[in-house]
Amino acid sequence: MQVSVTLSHSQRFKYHFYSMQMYGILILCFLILMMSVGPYISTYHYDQMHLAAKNHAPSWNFWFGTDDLGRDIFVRTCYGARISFCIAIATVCIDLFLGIFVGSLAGLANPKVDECVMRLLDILYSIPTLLTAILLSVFFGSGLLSIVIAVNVISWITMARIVRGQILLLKEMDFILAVRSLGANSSYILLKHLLPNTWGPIMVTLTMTIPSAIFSEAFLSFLGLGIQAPMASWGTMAYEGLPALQYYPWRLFFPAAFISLTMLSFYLIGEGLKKTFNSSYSENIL
Amino acid sequence: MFSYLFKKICFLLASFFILASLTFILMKMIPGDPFSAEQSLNAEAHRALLKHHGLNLSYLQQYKNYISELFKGHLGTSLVYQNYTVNQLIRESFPTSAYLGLQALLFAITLSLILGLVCAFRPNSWSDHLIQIGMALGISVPSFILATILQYFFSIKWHLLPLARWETFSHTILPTITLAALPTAFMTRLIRNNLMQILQMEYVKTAKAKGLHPFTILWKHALRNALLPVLSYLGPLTSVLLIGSFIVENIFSIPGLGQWYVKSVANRDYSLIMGLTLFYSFILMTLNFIVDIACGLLDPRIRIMPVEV
Repeated sequence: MQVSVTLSHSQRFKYHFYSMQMYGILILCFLILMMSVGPYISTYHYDQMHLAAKNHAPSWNFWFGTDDLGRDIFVRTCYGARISFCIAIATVCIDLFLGIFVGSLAGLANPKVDECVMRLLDILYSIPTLLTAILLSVFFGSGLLSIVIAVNVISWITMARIVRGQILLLKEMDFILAVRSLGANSSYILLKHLLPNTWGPIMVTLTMTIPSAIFSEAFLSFLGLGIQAPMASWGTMAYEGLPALQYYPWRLFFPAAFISLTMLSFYLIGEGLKKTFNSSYSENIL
Repeated sequence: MFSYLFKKICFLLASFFILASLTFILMKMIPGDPFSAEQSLNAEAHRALLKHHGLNLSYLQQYKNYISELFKGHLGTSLVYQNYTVNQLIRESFPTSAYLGLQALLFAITLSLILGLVCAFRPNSWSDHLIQIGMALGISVPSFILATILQYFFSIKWHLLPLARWETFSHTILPTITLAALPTAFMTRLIRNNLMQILQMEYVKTAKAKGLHPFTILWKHALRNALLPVLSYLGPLTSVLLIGSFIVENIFSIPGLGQWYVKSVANRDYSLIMGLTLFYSFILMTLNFIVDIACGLLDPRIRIMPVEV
């Protein structure tokens, strides 16, 4: 049973902030640090082969070991992080621009337009995301850009639905009526009053769509559809490390651990944010 | 209820039609035809092949044929495995996938029910925290990684369970656990959170005031209401199981449909990819449809509410 203690807003914020998100943010900072400075610390390059040291176990020379071509796994993991974060940033941009644009348009437009847009989005939404991603990446070929398109072509719909729902709720409220009666036009109300009140749900949704995009990339790469050699993504590295699991487990272990860490950090941040904003959002997976 | 049903059926058909058209357009967007990659073909044979597969017609005609074949339930033939139609492949390998999926589903539901009840029975106790940590791990470790970890320890290190293949019951254990991990984590969290919310309600207080045992309250009064969101989660859950099956069947070399899908992607066998994608989406959409109807039946608010906010 939950104990209801009356806390001031800032106290509650602090309490929730330090409990869960903090761990997530710490992990994320660690990953970003590794991604940005990792390749400069190490003396190796991501496609530099050391044929004398194939499948080398983790050692002082090769911190995470080497793969079957003698490439340093530490550097490759750092580059994999860069690719994952590229995907993450692309997802954030597409979600924020397209999702918020369509969502707020549908929320503010007259009910008929709203109905049409939402039905269309509902139909698109019911198509399984990863199947579409697989289909699209087969056609666009492999490469970072095609992966970004394939992963994000459906994912922004979640954001659009959330934003629309929030705006429908908010626009009936008294403070919007007050602003409107003062003569503000719709775009002003949207930018100054509606969207700032939607940031909570938007951020929580981002903590769900970002890891699912990163996971989709890893998944596609794991199927051999994603980033191609010699570029390194975590999914590709896991795929390459899989056959050698019995003898060289570190080749799978490091990329796998980093995928899991990323997912965990976003999960923690998302849970923490949910508690901070103190509302329940619909579960969204993959 | 009928208008709700009607709306949902229209929706199902429209989504499927859009997906079918989308796959068709994508298929036509690839430069060249499926046989232009094969160098050895002479022009004569090439034309004959095109004609055999009906690819020499206009796009509109092809589209018509494609849609009418779909209505009859024919999903086309494989380009790489020439003797196979997609329907044949599905008949041969889908039962294995379905068996694995159902076993994982049952396992996930049972386990998450137990774990959720344990969590809600003593919230914030050590068992609750332990389960929550486990659930966070279950959500953040992708299935292909979990599968290899399980294989490494249970088969390679400890020789407890078979590494791969599909023969006896013991062969199904590791794939089932892998497949069930993510759904179990999600459902446990869902059941726990729902139960916690419901336990704050007035009618639970009444039950408590009557002097009922806490477990009876949980089992008889709270659980029933906590299960509705779980039911609506069953739709996305099948999608998780399905995506998981691609990986699990590949890693454990199980002769199911997921393996064919991955193979068809690797071979660039376009017509097989199309056919299987349509089949998978058909299953998913139909299941989502059934779940929606079931939720509407169980909870009248869903079918009366005009817009979800």
